[in-house]
Amino acid sequence: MTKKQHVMIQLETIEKNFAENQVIPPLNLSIFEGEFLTLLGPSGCGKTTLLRMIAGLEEPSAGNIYLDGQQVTYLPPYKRDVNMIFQHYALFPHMTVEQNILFGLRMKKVSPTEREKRISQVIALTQLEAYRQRKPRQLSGGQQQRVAIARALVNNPKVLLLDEPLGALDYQLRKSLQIELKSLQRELGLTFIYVTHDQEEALTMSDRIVVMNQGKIEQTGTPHEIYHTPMSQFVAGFIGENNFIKHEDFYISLRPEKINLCEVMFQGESPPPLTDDTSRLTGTITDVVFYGTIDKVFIHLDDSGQTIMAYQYFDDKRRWQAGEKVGLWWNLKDEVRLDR
Amino acid sequence: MKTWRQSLLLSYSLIILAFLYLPIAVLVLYSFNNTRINAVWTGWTIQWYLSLFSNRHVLDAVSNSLIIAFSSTIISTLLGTMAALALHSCRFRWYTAINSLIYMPILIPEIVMGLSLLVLFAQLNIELGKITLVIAHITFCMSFVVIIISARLEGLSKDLEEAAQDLYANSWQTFRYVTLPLIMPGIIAGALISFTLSIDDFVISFFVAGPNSSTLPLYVYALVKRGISPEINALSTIMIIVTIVMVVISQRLQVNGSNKNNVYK
Ligand SMILES: Nc1ncnc2c1ncn2[C@@H]1O[C@H](COP(=O)(O)OP(=O)(O)OP(=O)(O)O)[C@@H](O)[C@H]1O
Ligand SMILES: [Mg+2]
Repeated sequence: MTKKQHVMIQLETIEKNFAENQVIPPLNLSIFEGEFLTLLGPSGCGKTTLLRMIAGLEEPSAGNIYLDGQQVTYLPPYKRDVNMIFQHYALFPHMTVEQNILFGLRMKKVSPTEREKRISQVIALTQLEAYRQRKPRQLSGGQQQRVAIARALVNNPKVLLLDEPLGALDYQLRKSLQIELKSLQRELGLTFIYVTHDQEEALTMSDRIVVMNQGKIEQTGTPHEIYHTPMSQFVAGFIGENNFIKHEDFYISLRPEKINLCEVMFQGESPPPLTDDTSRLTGTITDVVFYGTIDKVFIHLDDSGQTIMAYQYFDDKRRWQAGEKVGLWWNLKDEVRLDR
Repeated sequence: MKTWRQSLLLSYSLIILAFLYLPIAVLVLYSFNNTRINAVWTGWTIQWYLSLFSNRHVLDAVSNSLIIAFSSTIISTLLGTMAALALHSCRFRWYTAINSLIYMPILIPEIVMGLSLLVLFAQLNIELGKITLVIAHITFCMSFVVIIISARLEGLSKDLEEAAQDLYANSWQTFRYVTLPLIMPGIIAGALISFTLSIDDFVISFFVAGPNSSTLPLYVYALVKRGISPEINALSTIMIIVTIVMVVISQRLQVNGSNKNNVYK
């Protein structure tokens, strides 16, 4: 975020209550033109609600929404230049792929020649040539997802809203569509607001991540910032795996991959340097669990009685087993101090 | 062992079917009987069908029935569709109460419905005739239309309407291009059921028909009072065939519609 960027969407103390129940307390957020912004948070934290307010499908209880500088808070969805991709695609079952994609342009009364030009572009982009005349029910999940993307893209919206667009697909297909979506967004310079509760998806695709918890924004930042310098226990615990070590009135969070294991007695092995930059503890291994590329080693600490988890890689010199005494050390720069 | 059980099951089903359809089969058979006396079979003829079509009273009754059936079908389909849409879109406070009130005319004994309509028309000084028949038929046809279309709307995912709105369709366009096409099989099925019910209705019609507005069932009843004739058998056979065709079409529409679109979730 070095150069000054154009704000595409601005949410100003936006708030949503359903009856007595406050789902989103007043919230501020700016989304820049051309960025891939991800809303990440546990189920029920209000991601969909926030997205629906931007789309106009839900009216905020208070606050303002600006789209490209214009107040759109109470504008109905069909007058907003944003398009949404629904989790279950919401393709019109009685229309062919082509009719589905053309729907928005028809409603906007775009001329037939312009329509033809745009549909051939998006169909080429989403590789749907062969399926033009098919009905949605004759397509696989991944193809349906592509149609949903094409149906939104063809309108050249200022912002594309995606509500867990890949949630219903299997792992392999999700991986390949993630790459397609990301390159599409980058090539066309589109503004994406992407909802997911898959943290890996968020980390690999986003320019910026907004971590939400119970309607509040916990932290906003690049994937790197969110992962390496979480600002709260919630963020530190929600993204990736983490260890928390309690001090008097604050916590230290420490990623399991940053912890090094060593012999307590350092027999035959040169002891790790205990300098001003490192910290060291001892403990007993309670469990070692196989996870494919790594083993997770669970260690019961001698002094505090806490359990710490560390990764063990297969090319590590020493294979640890349950019941062994072990020393742990890490660099102080890898500790993250959390005040909340 | 297995074949023994299967044949037992088969014969059991056949007995049930015979029990259900034997009376109708006999009636259809005797409509082709070459004698006025119902009890004896003498040979094949279609003269009863021919004489039906040259009988002025029969033709009057047929035309009355068709006029009433068409009018009440059109009106009850329109009103029923609108009622179902209204109930679907605004889940207001009295939703459940209103919903059960709409089902009520189906459950109330027909004779009570007929009687109460008759009392009402008398109170309002409305002359009995085609108009009163149409109104009476609408009361029960509409309930069926609402039930059938509500079932379809229930299965309609809200996402679809929201997707349409998101794609620049205003409320009317959303209805016109998304909701309406998706509930269309339900509307047609409702109309066919209404038509069938109206053509077949006897009890309620009996109360609210005027002197010159006899429908087919009423005419058949009047004839029966003078003894069962082969003409009645022929007339009944035609009514049975029309009913069966209608019901089959409407069933196919309902089943097809739900298989074809994944509207039902
Ligand atoms: N129409 C509604 N009426 C009442 N409460 C609602 C309504 N829609 C959502 N909520 C509530 O608002 C909260 C947030 O819901 P929302 O759908 O935004 O969550 P989400 O973050 O999208 O969750 P998920 O990851 O499971 O999709 C939930 O507690 C939900 O029960
Ligand atoms: Mg959601």
